[in-house]
Amino acid sequence: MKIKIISGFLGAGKTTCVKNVLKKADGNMAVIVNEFGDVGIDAELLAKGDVVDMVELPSGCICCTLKNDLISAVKEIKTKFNPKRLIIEPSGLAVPSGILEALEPIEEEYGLEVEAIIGIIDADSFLSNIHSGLFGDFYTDQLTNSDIILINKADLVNEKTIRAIEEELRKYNSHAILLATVNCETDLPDLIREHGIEHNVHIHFDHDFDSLALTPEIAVNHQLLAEVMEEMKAGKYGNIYRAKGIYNTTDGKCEKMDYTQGNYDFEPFPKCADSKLIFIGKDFDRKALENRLQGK
Amino acid sequence: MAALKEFKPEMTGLERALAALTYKKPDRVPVASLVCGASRRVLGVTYDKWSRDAELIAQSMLQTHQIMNNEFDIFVMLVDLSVEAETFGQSVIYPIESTAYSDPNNPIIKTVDDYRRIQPVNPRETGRMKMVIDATRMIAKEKAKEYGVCGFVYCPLGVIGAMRGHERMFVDCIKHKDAVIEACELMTPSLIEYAVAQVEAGAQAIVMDTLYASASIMSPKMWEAIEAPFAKRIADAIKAAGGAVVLHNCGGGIYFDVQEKYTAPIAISHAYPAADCKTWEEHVAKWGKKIVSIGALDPANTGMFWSEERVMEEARKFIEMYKSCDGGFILSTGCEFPPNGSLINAMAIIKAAKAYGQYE
Repeated sequence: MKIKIISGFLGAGKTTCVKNVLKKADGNMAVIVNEFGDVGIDAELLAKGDVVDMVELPSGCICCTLKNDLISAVKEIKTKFNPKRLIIEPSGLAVPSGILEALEPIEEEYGLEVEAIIGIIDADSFLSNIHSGLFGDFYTDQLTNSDIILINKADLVNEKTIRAIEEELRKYNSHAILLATVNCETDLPDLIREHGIEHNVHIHFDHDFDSLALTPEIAVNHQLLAEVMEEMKAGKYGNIYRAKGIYNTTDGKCEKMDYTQGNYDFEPFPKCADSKLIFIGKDFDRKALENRLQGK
Repeated sequence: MAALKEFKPEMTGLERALAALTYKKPDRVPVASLVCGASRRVLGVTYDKWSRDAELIAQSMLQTHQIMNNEFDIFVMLVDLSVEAETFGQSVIYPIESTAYSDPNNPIIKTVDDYRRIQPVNPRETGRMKMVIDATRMIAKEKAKEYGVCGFVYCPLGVIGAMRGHERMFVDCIKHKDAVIEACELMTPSLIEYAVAQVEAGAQAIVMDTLYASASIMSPKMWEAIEAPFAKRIADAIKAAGGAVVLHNCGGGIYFDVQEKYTAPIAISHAYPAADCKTWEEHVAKWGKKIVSIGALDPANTGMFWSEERVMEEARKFIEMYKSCDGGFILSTGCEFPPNGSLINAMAIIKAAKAYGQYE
């Protein structure tokens, strides 16, 4: 069960993001929300079977009881419905690191995979919030642990402010993909989340980007992939900023690839159930890249 | 696992607790039971019934004590964090097998103006606050001669958060601070009355939950500006009534220094080191001999994941860390024991105190 955690302070657009993800869902999905009322239990979504379950976590308690309830909710959803995906929208005062810690003991047994943590900030108030000195660690924890940060309500501020926000965000998170959005409208890239620190990625503010996600059923040829890395570096396919993969190789091993703006490396990886490769960039030739990776 | 020592008690639970709280080494490390909602399973009642009945609360805690060989030393009258809000008129949801909580879709404080409309309540006569006072009385009657009995009160920001939504209240603390302060002012006399009533019912101490005074949630500057003066008033009233003040805060990085300044507690129940300490070792060195710690086993792991042996081992580590504090340590979970957690593990905490917590 793949999990996306959508975090953000009140008013940043968390619930809008959840709704957007639900609308674009292509398979059965469950949702754990902070408050039903904000999302609205969409009877149509439930009837279609796209959303198999929506569980409300009591927002009245933001301390340890929430952790217990979260664990129980995730276990029950997995056991009863076994959806492909789970979205968790915790309270805006919750810390994503605490959610990850809470899920860690049941990860293996329940087959959980945290795909991504999406942090949402309000472009209009972020800088004043972060500089006020009034917010507790929950605010920065949401920034530090996000894989993708949506700088939402970008239409309310100018380009200079967006740059200032990005600069401020980089103090807390050097690796997250930053996307400026309005109403959280964007195609969220698939990601493979790993524990640990990712390479420094800087993607310029843009509403659009391209991504290519592949799940090859046959093993990946390491030599071929290394050649592709060099070709990407030379710009053969266009602008590819970031690429990542965890995959089974033709010589029977499991490997991890990491590419960041021309620099790449390969490392052994303990185990991979399914192979996955992801490429993110702007205006790049996805078809040519895909064909090349398939040896065509 | 280290070899288990046999323990022969030489003190009552109350004597043990008092010794720890005054830095005189007791016969062993005392144990505070935060087996609160979990105690309903010993009596065999559903949570929704338990949460609303003083008799069921008292009987379940007494039976839990009995099933644990009367070996935990301190009772804590924590029912849940919606008790006070409910008495102030907030609607509450009572799941059958999970903790009761304020209905997030129906907050009683809907607008900033509603902060100013909070009406005082008489906790001795009204709602679930009366229920807790009654349950405290029943427990104290049976146990207060030989065991510690701590009442419980949620401080104003926590109660207001339960009536407004914690996130919305946080935003209001920034944008409409005066309104939130006014709400605290309107609410505090009732919370004082509640705490004092529990002392009069027989509780020797009152646990004040100051959840917001932690680095996880808000800066010390914000807490001092808003809740601190009211926490002080509640603490002073408890002491004037003859009770002792214990704080509870399971947030990350709680402000020991600021809270000491305003409430001068004899102990703090906590789950993480203080905000000015990076590790537990640092916390023990800095605070261990100044304010007694009650804690700090991770509740979710203790109740839901660890084996009995692991619980004992983790408890042993805390006991060893605090051994240099002249007896000033009480073992417990850092927050309420998970209501659906393993009671075997709750008992393992006591086993650990007996096996490893004897002072030379």
